[in-house]
Amino acid sequence: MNSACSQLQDDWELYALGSLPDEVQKSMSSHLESGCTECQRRYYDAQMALTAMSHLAPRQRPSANVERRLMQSITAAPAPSLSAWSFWKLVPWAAAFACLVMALWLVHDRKRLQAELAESARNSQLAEQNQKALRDELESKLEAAQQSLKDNSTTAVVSRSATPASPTGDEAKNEAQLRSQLAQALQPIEDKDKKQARANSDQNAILAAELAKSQAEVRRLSMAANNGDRIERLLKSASLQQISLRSVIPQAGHATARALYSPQGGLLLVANSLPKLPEQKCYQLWLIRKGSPAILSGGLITLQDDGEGILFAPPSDTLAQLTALAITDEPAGGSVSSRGRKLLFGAQ
Amino acid sequence: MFNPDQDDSLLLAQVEQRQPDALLALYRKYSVRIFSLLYRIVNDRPAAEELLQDTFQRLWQRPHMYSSDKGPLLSWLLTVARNIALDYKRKESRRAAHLVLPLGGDTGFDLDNLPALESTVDPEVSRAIRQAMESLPPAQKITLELAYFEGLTHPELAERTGETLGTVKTRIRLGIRKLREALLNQGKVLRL
Repeated sequence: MNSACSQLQDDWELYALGSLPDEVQKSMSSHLESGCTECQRRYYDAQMALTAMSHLAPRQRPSANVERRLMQSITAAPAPSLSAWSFWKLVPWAAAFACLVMALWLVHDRKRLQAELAESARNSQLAEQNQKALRDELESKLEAAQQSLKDNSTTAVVSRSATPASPTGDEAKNEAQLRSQLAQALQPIEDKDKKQARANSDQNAILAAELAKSQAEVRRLSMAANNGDRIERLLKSASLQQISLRSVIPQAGHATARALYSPQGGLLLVANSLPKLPEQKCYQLWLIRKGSPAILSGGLITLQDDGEGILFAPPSDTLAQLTALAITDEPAGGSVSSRGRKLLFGAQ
Repeated sequence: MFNPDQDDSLLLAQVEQRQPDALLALYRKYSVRIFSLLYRIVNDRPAAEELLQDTFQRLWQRPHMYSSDKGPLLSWLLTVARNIALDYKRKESRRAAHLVLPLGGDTGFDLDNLPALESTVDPEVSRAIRQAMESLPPAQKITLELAYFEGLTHPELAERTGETLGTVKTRIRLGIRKLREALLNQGKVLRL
């Protein structure tokens, strides 16, 4: 017996009872695994006494349902194979890679949009300068025309000092002529202004649409990145569990589904070969759990054209009590309580 | 057909080879013992049945977790079951009614042709263990029962019994040792 053994010798009873702090339990487990025969014997003795204590519990028989459920569960949910776990391990990496590619594309696209916006701003500035120059020119012409009109009027008043002040035919003609010249001078400027305004408006509409599209893409990418994080968090959960679902009626065809879940990481369900439903129907997942309520909606399954369906439910304490999952077909939009046909089912 | 008297190590090897009948044989051999303990701890039949199922599912999913250096398979299963039950009790102290899943269909096994549940409870051994427990000083007996069946931690035991932590640990330690000695003195070969 070495010094480590002598330190531990009084604790094997407490270890067998599992009442020591976790780190001490782990340390003693490591010591046992190291092959120390003396300590193994002490532990064995303590274990035997505790096993004997179980005889003190009044004898009870479980119902036959337990045996049936156990057999159903082990045949419905085979132990995860290496290939299956390899697939799941790849999921977060694939999601992360996709997010990286999309993020690079987004950065590139944002730069392009920024350049276009700068170009548009420059164009607007130039157009504004042109408009100002034209307006100045127009105002100057207008002033000149008004001055000319005033000068003509003064001349006419002086020459007709003894007669009533009413415009003669020449004055009216001159005024009309000036107005016409003014209108002609203004027309191309107004046309150009309108054209420029239309062009600016079109450009702004295009840019606004691209900006909206870009923002939508950012939101979608953000959600994808968020889902990637959630999947990674789920797969890293210490309490990760799995349930496999199989079709239970012929109408479900060869559909299968697999769910990974943990109370801390949420639930990810991937279904395959789900038959296409009519438009007024949808697939809904049901969480069957211990406690009350016993059946809860797990959400609607998004179905793709190839019959693959995916659902991600957020982390919840209710997942700690999960015993089984079922997929039913429900009216579009889902049901509060299951009314459709139970198509797939799987228990722990 | 599997014989319940088959060696546990052989049945366990078959469980590792994914033979459900072997698990069923172990279930039929030990479920009464394990269920009795679970029911004693949680005092709720549906919950105890769920926990019994959990215990054997763990054996099916992770048979390699058990190794012979951890003692007999039954001891290990009882330890697993007790841990599950105590976790359950801590987390679900106010548990609502349980769902009993409506399970139909064929399991694919000839359940009727397997041996009936083996009680593995020898009345003589049970009586001997009760006598051994009764031979312990009352304080040791109570402390040991609270620790084993209620899963109270050392501080909780100290608070419940009004003793120091050191006294609680000593009572548990001595209680287990005396229990074992008492059983050996009665000449009982424990069928554990």
